[in-house]
Amino acid sequence: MRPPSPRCRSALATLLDGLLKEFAGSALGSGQAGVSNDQVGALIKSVLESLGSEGNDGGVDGLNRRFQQGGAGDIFSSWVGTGTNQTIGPDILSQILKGHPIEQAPQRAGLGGAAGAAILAQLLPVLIDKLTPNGQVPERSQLREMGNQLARGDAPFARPEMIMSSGDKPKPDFSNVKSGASSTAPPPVAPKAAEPRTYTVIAGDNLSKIAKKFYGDANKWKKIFEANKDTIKNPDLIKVGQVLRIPE
Amino acid sequence: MREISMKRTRLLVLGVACVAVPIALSACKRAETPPSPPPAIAPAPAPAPPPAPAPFRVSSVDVGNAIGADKRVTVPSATLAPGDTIYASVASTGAAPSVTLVARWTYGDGQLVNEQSQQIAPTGPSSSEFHISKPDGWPAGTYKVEILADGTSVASKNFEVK
Repeated sequence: MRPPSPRCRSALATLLDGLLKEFAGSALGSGQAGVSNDQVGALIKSVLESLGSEGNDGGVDGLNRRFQQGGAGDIFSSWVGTGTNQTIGPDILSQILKGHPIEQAPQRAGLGGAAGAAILAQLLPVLIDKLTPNGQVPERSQLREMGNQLARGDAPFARPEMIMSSGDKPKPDFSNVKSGASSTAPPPVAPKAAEPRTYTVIAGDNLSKIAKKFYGDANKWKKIFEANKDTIKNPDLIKVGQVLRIPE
Repeated sequence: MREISMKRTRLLVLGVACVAVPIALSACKRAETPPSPPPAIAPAPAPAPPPAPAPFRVSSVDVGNAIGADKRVTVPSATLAPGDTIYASVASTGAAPSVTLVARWTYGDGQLVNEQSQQIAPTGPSSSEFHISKPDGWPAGTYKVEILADGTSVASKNFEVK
């Protein structure tokens, strides 16, 4: 395998170092966007390969033409220039890139759908900015070579986790945090539990009769029996004056 | 004979008189105008309904390392020490039968530190406190406490540990 040219190594190192600084601390960089480091690394590689492709759309100049045609030339110029990068929404970016090799880059990196488009919209301005230091546009072959090196992981800083992690600083561990709360205001009053219904047995009663009285159905006597099993041993034998629980 | 006739006439007159007088009296009674009813007493005005209590509203949140018995931070501070217990006191007004207050503590760019909730039924101005502590000390950096009332963010405060 042909070793990468020193020039390419240097360009890739500069690019990745710039990306590292740019993303450190951001939601994307700290992995909070729900995207793995490997996926973002694969996306950068895929975009570099697309930019390095031959044809009208290839190269930074080809992408620039797309933006000009899409009425977003100013945005693209801000990425190439030395000023502040203008942001671009994923929807507009998707329209501009329709049919362009970069359009499929998120999918190739396993980042399909709206999430992939949103990440590409975050990544592309920074990537183009870092690829064009002082407005200098890299050769297509150079872009392809950077993509290949990134895939091989043989360039300095070429490991995706190096790009997308927020540096060596580990996240603090807050798992042992203790907390509490109190107030001068009273707590809400819990709704009172409904008083259980009761019935006092009178002469001539039996469970069927009581069931008919409360449920309109004598066959529901078992419900009363079940609710009073602690005091009724024999369902045919209830005593006058006995207080029965009548379940709802 | 004439005497008898006179007697009869006198008796007749007397009889007629006996019947006529009660009738006349009765007629007079019926003709009497009924006594005028006592003057109507105007109903007492219904007592004005008590004014509706003001709705619950969080007015402020303060952060510090100590609270008083009134649940208020004694000395609000935007800078705390790693060993501090950190208090957030939430001042509120108004009444509600039930409000769920949540304090969401975050570090740096949004890393969740802790989330604590409490249910209150305020009847007027009240103060609620939330506190967090970390046995091995707080990492230096910027923090934020966000207060939510029934799921809606109502106040927040940034502070620093150094």
